[in-house]
Amino acid sequence: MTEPTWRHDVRTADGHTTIELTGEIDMSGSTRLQDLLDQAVNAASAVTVDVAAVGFIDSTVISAFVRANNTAATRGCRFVVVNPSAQVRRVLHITGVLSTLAEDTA
Amino acid sequence: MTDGGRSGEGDPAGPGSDLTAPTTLVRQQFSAVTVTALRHTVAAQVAVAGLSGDTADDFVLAVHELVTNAVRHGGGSGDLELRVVAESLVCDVIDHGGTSDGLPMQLSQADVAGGRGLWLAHHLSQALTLTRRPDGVTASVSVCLTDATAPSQKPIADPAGGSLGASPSGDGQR
Repeated sequence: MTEPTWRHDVRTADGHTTIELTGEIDMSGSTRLQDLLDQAVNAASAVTVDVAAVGFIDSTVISAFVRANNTAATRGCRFVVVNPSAQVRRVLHITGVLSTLAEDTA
Repeated sequence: MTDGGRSGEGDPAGPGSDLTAPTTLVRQQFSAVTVTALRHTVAAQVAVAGLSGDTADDFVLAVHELVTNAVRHGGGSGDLELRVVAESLVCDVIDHGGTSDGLPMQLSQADVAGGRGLWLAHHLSQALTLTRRPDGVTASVSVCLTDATAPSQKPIADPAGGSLGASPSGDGQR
């Protein structure tokens, strides 16, 4: 009924999966995102989520990231969110998960 | 929604009296399938009201979190009203979720998945009010329109090359 407001591109090489997300992600897409992330962290030894082209996230997206990060941790998989735009970075920071999910890059 | 002071829409109270009368920008019912479209509508109207940059983004996200909260925890649907009151932009999000025991306002630990919506709304808005009614919750956020131009934040970087204040065909984005 609602058109997807975001898309993804997944590449895997040598057990390292990179997921590039593009668009706006909110509660209408968080289940699909969760499935995508879960699948990756359950199969790869490292997962990088590139959010450079993501213009909007909300608290449900943060929940999906945190769940995936927890799953990854129990599997010994490395999970990291990279290249957040200013807006995405702000939301991650305000909710206290920036240092947990993202690499510390200035 | 009958409170909010004198709402004299359609009331011929005389010329000049509309200076302080609330102006409704958006009044809409919502449910899960309209959350995204409603956010876009709110964003466009927030821009029309004169907000831009982080102030606008923050307010829109705060409203979005209240809408999301209503859909997920407040019965699945609700009503949104965005209006200008005096020199503030006010948004009411009214759900019909019955009992509302848990309104988590504290921040979840970094490894706990949920519970950040109201925290975000609270920290992104200048004022957040939660009112429990017998049949649900009314959540209101507001932002002062006259503060919006205060130079408290760094100028907005404009990667596309300077369209600030110079887009005659501005379609809601600024």
